[in-house]
Amino acid sequence: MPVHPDPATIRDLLQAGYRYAWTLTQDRDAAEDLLHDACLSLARGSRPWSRGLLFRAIKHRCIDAHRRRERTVAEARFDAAGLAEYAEDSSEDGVLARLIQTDEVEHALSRLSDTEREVVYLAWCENYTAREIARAVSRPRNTVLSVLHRARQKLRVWLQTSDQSRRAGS
Amino acid sequence: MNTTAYDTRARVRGFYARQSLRPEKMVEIMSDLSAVETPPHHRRFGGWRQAGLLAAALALMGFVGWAWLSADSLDRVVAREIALNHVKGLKPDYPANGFGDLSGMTDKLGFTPFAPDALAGQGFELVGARYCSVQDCMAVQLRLTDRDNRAWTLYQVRPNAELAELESTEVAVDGVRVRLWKESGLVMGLAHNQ
Repeated sequence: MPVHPDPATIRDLLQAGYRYAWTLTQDRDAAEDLLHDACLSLARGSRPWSRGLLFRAIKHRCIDAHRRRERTVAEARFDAAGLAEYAEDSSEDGVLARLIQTDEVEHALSRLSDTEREVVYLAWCENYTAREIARAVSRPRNTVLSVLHRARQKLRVWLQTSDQSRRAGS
Repeated sequence: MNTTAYDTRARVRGFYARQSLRPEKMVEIMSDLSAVETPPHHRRFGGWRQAGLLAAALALMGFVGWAWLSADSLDRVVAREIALNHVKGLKPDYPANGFGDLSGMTDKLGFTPFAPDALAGQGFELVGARYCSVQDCMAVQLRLTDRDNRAWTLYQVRPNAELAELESTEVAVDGVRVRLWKESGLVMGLAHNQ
């Protein structure tokens, strides 16, 4: 890849970088700021842009920010009951049903530990191998595999529970 | 209907696919990137640019040579980083009366901070802890006081391949004495003012 890739590739990298930054911060504004800083730092350097390099730059900035202050946790939390009631009153059931499910996933992800969430994102959304994730999170490969297994079990249980609650309330 | 492993993965992927950078932020970043990437003088002075690059390359070679000759050993680099952080004296983010209070840090660190055997019986008291890094490895910085209420800073870090090469040593850096050693698979660094 050239040092400065074409705009389409950069846009693709920015979206991936944003999702990764969101995974680390769970806060839209903080994720955008991390991404912005990381991109400017890469642009000033001479190394070819790559997803791994961008992710590393984002993570380092996230750790730096963590040192300075407690990480901002998103205040808005999913209120399944309230949203479900709203869904009943609306004619746009399909859109709202998807919104509810989106918030259920977001809520479930927020209950994972930072490492579990990062491993899940890299494995499932970026298709990293266990070895690549191990390098990214500075953990042994076997630890990564067990973290992923544990996170998968937790998510499955939580999503099942919220599905059942929603059906019981409908 | 059960939420199968496949469903779980598909729902998480679907969730992430719906998260995207806001268009206005995308424009802002792209604009900043193009400003960084295309300094105008590069286009106007093509010949001079090559000469400049050559000069820069020569300067870089000189710098690399100088840096190689004056390079610090790893223990000194680590000791300097630890001494700098010790001097900053940042307030602990997690006040603690004992190491048991720090179990919440385990998940992020990959290990639980503990009282090293090497410091047993020396009268240290734990004040608190904060996350930090040593040579880009996630670490914990533990603030201690001794019997005379003097501040000491203890670092615990799970070493990467490079840090794993560290040998036990004691180094003085800018008025700070730093002791490095390994214990229970972690690298320890203890700093105090001389």
